[in-house]
Amino acid sequence: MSSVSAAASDAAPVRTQAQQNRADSAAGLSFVAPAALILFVFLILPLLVAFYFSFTNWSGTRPLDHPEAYEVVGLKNYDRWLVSGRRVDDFYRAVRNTLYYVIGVVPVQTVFALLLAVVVNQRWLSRKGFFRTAFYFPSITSSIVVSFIFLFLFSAGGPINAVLGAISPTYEPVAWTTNNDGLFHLFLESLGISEDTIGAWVETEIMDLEIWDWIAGPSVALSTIMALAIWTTTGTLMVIYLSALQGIPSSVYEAAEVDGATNWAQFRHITLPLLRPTSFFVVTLGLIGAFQVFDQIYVLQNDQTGRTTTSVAYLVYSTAFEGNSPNLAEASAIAIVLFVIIFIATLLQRRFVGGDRAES
Amino acid sequence: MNINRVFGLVLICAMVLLAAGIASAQDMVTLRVWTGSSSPVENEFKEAQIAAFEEANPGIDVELLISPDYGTQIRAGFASGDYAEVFTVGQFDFPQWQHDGLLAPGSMYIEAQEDIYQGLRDAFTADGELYCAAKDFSTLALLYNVDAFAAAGVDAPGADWTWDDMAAAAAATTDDDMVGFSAAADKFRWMTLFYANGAEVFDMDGAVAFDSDAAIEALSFYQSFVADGTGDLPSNLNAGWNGEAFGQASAAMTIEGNWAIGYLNDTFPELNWGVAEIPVAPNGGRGTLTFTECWAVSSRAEGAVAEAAWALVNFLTGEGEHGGHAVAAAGFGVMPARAQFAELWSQTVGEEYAAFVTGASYATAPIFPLGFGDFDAAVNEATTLVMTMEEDAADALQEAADVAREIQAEME
Amino acid sequence: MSTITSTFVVHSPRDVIRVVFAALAIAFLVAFALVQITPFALTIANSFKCDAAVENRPMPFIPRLETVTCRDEAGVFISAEEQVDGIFFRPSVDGYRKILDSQLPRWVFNTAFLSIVVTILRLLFDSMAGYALARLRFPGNRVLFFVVLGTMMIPGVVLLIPRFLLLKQLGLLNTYQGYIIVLAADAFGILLMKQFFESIPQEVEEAAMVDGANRYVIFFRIVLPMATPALTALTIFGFQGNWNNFMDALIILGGDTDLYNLPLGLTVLRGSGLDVQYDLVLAGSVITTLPMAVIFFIFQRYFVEGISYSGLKG
Repeated sequence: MSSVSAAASDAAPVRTQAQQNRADSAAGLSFVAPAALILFVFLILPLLVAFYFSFTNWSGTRPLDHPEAYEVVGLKNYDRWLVSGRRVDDFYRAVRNTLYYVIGVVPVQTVFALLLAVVVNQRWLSRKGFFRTAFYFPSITSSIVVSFIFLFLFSAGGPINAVLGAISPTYEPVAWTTNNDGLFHLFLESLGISEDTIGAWVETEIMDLEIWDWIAGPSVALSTIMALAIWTTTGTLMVIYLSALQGIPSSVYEAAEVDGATNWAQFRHITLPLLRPTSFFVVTLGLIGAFQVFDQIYVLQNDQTGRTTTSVAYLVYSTAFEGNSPNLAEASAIAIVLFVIIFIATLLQRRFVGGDRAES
Repeated sequence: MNINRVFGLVLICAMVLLAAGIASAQDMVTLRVWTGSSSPVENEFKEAQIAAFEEANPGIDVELLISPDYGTQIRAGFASGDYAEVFTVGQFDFPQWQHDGLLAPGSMYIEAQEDIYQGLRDAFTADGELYCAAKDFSTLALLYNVDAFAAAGVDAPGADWTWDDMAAAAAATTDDDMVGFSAAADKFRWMTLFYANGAEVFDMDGAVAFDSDAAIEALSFYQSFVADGTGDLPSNLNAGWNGEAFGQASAAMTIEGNWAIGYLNDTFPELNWGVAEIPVAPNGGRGTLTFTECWAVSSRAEGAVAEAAWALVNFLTGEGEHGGHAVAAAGFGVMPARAQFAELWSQTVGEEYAAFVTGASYATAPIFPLGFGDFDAAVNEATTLVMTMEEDAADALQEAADVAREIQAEME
Repeated sequence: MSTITSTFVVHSPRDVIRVVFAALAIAFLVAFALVQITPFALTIANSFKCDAAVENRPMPFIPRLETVTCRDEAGVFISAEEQVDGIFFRPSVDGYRKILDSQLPRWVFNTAFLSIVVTILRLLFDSMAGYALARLRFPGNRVLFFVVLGTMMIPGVVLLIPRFLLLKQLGLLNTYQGYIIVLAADAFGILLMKQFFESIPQEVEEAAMVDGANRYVIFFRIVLPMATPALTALTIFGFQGNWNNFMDALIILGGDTDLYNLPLGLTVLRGSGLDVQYDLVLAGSVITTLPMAVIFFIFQRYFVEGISYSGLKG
């Protein structure tokens, strides 16, 4: 508690601390009640139901009022996807793809969003509304159009290859949208290292996937999807930063200017530290969202890139609704596993990078 | 006015209303009809069919719901046990939905069954019982670019065209701007050749035969176009699917279904193209795949409701003017499920598309049995690996077949 | 307001560099803004083209005054070359005509009504919950924070059917109320508000408390007005999320076409399958995107530096 109010309450003890705590408690509960009730009934209850179904063999189509709607099968669905089933490798490949996606997308979109927000918040910039809206557009442009443009830009004879070809005469056009080669594999290859020369250890299987496959890096096709995802989400995150920037009093900057601080110094020593909690928040949200990537993959993967672009969330969807034997129970089990992965990742992020609490 | 008269009047009014209510409740049957949204023309077609049925059956009230996401919506309905009396079933959903007891048996109700193509009846039959009436269907055929063929001096494919002819045509039409054949990495394209070559997923004794020599030959042939550069995957041709690659004239041939008719004519009006049957296999065999949907009645419909539901199904799919006849006369892509209207369909859309309907007589609905989900996934993976030249057909098919054998062993 | 950076008065070489630098920066920003807008500009241009031109000649973007229809009297479609000429094209309104379904006004109304009501409720409930999580010590505060965070971590597809069953039990299916109640608070909004409240100083609240004001008065009279930037962000997100909401609308409102929102209605019109009607799809995405852009443009004005501290100064 700050010294100002502490001094004031000494002078005029309107309420005791205990009374205040009790009042806060009551106010707190009544403030969270509506939202908590809604979240509990419409998110947490269904989540618990899905958790329960993940231990059954319910197909998702047999009516639940049917006497033999489902049986409880214990951990069978988890075992099938995580340990001993025929598609364990598909699951871990999706985990790998998702991890590379998260690691690639989250930091970049956070930095871009921050830079955009700072730029469109500059006092010297006139027509801020125009620029802000323009930078926000990718977030609201329809995904169908975005995928059209994406396919055009990255096509074999498209502008990206043309520009790269113009810059470097030795450039060989890259099949951006269909190439399954991992970036790390390509890097190692350029150093003359291949699966055969690196040593036998890379053929060891960890969780049904060779180490060599784990360290592949995001494929060229996945990287292209990641670039697009960054482009479309940056605008949304920019809005969060933009709202947080309003919380920094202009008097702080004015004081710094009087002291002769450069723009960069102001950004480095004022803006960045004061936005720390916001950045942690943006990273947490970005992490949670990126781990559940589905739309971009659904729209942009093609008939050759399934193995290097399928995400865990995509696997959940396809298990629940696609193919010969859709199975909601198994999909729920994969979803619960993804939930656990995200939860752990979030805890790690808060532990090692920091939480969203303001530091005083 | 005395109190008794008022009371009497009220009583009479009440009785009249009650009687009317009972009468209407007895006469009026309400049917909920659910289906997915297909093309706008087809949606309008379904609405018109329903309107005609309501007019012909004043005692039946139909609530038609054309869903924006049918799969999700009907599943939610199934789960709750409260779903439509009449609804559409896709061939790939049929095994599961039948197994889950959602569909009423139809052998006793569906009219003139023998007129529905054999392949379509098979798709909706379980344990000898026909469950639902196919409303329409599509087949795959060989699309070819007439101008490219002429420029390369290749004769248009006829009914006796063989795999060798196709390979030669692909080589002849391949140049800097075009490959001979757009070959999607999709099991539902190369399996036309699989069935043409006499291969089967299970042999006569029920053993897995997915990696038979005939199967390997079919997939190897499909792969050979990519291997020798006379064909490529649509994703390598800057296209999302075969139809787009073919329409852009990036490929002189492809294997696609009759849904491509509308797309190609709307989107590439200047493309000069033709259709032929899937080429004859070396052993002289023919084959193609069929994709179909049926109108089914809920297993929960009873009494008058069930009767009305079957009346509607027969109205929509039967021999009458609003059933197969109307599908044929509407002339939007899909073909009528009854052989008697095949001729009418060809006349409506144009004789040049007749190869699609010719294929119906020997087409197979490629449905794997229930519980073979892992096999389904394995076949997809095998197809991708072969078409990206990472594996040869023999190894890939054997891996997939082994999955099927494992599933079979577990089931016993 | 500072005068140093807002005007460019040239006094010294250093100022010259600064002016040049600013000009370059603005040129770069304008170029970047154009890149960001181009996809949407192309969406608008292509929504006035027939399928052939959309697929084969998507880039021409300047309309001529002369219009065309996509089919001639014989029912034959016009080719891309017939519609496009260099960077010019002859517009057609067929795409818009196709979405002018009899139910379109109803869907627009539903979308606007539901988006507005839900957004207003979220402003209230999310900020109340966010404030409580940020400032008020009550039993379970910390646990509740992780629960709220946790609800965002599960792929929504597996919740669809359980949620449908629940809504059916509650009799909320196919009602406006159902949609509104389910979406009246969201985890993202709560966390956004919590995060914002934590970043603003406590002095004002504490001063008010000394004066005897209770938490409710403090929240509605003092805290909420200071939270304008965050509420603005929440308004933008809430509106955008609901204007585009397909899945929740499908599960809750899917049984009654009179209650459909635009995403549901346009999906039905568009149909499924490989025979995509590009003009219809693009016309649909123009009418769904434009209102969001307008909302954003209107509300972004409230991102004004220092507004939250007007009460603090002096």
